[in-house]
Amino acid sequence: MKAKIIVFLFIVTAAFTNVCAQDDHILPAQADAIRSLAVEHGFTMQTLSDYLAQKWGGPMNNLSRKDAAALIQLFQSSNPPIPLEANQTAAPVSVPIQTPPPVQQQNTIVLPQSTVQSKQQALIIAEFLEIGMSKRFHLVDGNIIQGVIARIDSGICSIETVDGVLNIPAKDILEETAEITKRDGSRYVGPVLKESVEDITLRSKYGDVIVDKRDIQTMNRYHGGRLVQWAEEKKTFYRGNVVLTDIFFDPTAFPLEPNSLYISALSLGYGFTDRFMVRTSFGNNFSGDLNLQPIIQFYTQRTATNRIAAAVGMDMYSHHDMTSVISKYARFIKEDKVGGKAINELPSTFSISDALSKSYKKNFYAEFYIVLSHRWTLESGRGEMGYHLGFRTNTLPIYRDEVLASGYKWSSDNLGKVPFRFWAAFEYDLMKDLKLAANIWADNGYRYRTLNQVIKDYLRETPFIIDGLDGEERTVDFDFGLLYAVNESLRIGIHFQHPYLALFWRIVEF
Amino acid sequence: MIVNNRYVSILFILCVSFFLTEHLLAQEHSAVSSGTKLKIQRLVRDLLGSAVTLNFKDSGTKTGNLVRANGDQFVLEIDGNEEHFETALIHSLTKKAGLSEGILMVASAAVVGGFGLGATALLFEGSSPASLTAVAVVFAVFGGWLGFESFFQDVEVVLP
Repeated sequence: MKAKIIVFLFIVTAAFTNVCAQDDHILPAQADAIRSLAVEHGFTMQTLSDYLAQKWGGPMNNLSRKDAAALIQLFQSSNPPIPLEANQTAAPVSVPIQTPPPVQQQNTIVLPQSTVQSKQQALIIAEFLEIGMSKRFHLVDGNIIQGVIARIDSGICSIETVDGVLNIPAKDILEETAEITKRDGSRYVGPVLKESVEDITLRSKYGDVIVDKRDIQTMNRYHGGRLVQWAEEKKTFYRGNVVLTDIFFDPTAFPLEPNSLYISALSLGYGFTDRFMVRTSFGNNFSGDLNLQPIIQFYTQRTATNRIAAAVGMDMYSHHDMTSVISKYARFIKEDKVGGKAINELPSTFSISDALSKSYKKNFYAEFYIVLSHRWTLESGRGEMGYHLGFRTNTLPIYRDEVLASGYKWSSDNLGKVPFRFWAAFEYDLMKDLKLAANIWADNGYRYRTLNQVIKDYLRETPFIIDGLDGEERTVDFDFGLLYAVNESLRIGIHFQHPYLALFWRIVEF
Repeated sequence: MIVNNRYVSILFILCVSFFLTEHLLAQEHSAVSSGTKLKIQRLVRDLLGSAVTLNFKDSGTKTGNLVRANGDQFVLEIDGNEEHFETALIHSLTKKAGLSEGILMVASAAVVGGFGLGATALLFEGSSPASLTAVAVVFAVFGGWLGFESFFQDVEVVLP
């Protein structure tokens, strides 16, 4: 029953956040319909963008659902809109407003805009082809080739590919337009001139722009005027949408991006700079245990395909419940008498807090860690993979003897003298919105807890904190799971150790 | 006089043609180089302040601290003096792995070695110190190799 309530709450939260995220903006289906109708009426993406800016006051993303519906009706009416220049000069509707006169230059060919009738829809031919253009070229017959234009001669493009040099008539190469929205809010629409792993070059009416792919928030591509299907586009992506600052409970050396806030079911955090972020567990704060958890990336090195980093962090708690701390190491605490048992073997009438000195019930407590991370772009172009190695310890050894009540003592086992957790985590982009993560650890204080135990702990004993005293000792163990990017902000995940479910709401440019 | 006029006309046409050709070529060159400049600045921004080696197209090299790169020139600090190098002459930049990368490699060996030691001690209680040491060394070697492959590599940035 409790599990059902949790699942219900989870679904309601996800649905609510989705609805909030969408508000009254144009629906994706409406945008697709407008693009298709526009292409049918002779628009290119550029001319559509110009038309929307001039007649509807901004880009497509700014349209409301009502406006979008009105625009669709207008396209379907007996007097549909036509591209601006065509409207102004009564020229053929397929000529976009920025098309220069058809001249052939030494290194550049500018073709008059023309269309090729396919069975279903008109395809738009590339307007701009230049020597040095390096990208994937989509052809009218469905071929897709990756290469560089080495020569343009009498309307024939010689394209160097890894499989040889192909001579392709310019009229067979489809227009490729990208509609890019950057994280800083700027937006570019134009033909793609070049594309590499790290950047993409577009030709706008006002000059060429080179956009760093790390700065791209969203990108739609059109080949021959058609939006590229998700099934095709998903095959190559520079980076997955699920970017992790932690893998389950263990941090990576990549902090949250600057000026971003995240809220999860257990904590919230803020990225101050590229290299520094602070988290806090709000459940502890509400219980009087004020806490700050800064992490600083002290080393980083980035190339187009590799990112390596090292970070140190400290989780500081002002009045921490030490019962939960010593309960993790119960197997190393014994009754101080001859033949005394470890306190985790005592009958159920015994409470862990009985072994804790009264003056240490609430105490300053901190954990320290170092983590090394390496992420690299997959050669297949399908996102990234990476690994993270870390070590964590805490302040318990400082007051190790004082923290116990009289009648109890630490065992002589060397394993219990220093709290430690070594971990090795792994991540892999399965799809643009789906990431596989795994983690293996050796932790002398780790306990495995069932889903029911975790839910009870999270909701009842101390809300929003997972600090229960129950569980089975599993000092060497592993976990794996999947994380999914529901939209730009919401990430959900499922894995097989506590806390089992992960919810992560990120607000960029807070 | 007629001859002179013809010469003047030819000279005038040649001059105008030369001027226009130069002007157009210069425009194209500057359009290309402005994009290239931007790319270079982005490529090297993470290397500013680091010790780098410039690899020239003629196979020579220069090593120093990268002070700035504006796309036209790279400025290195060599023995306390700033030296300027034309971007057009440079093939690539190399940042050699140094002390920090070595420390990270050792840290990687220590973390993975510690993992091996901790895991063995926790899984096989009562293991002899010799066997624990052996396992820790094996794991540390693996961690060191992992750290070497990830952190202790020269970074080469080939200029566009």
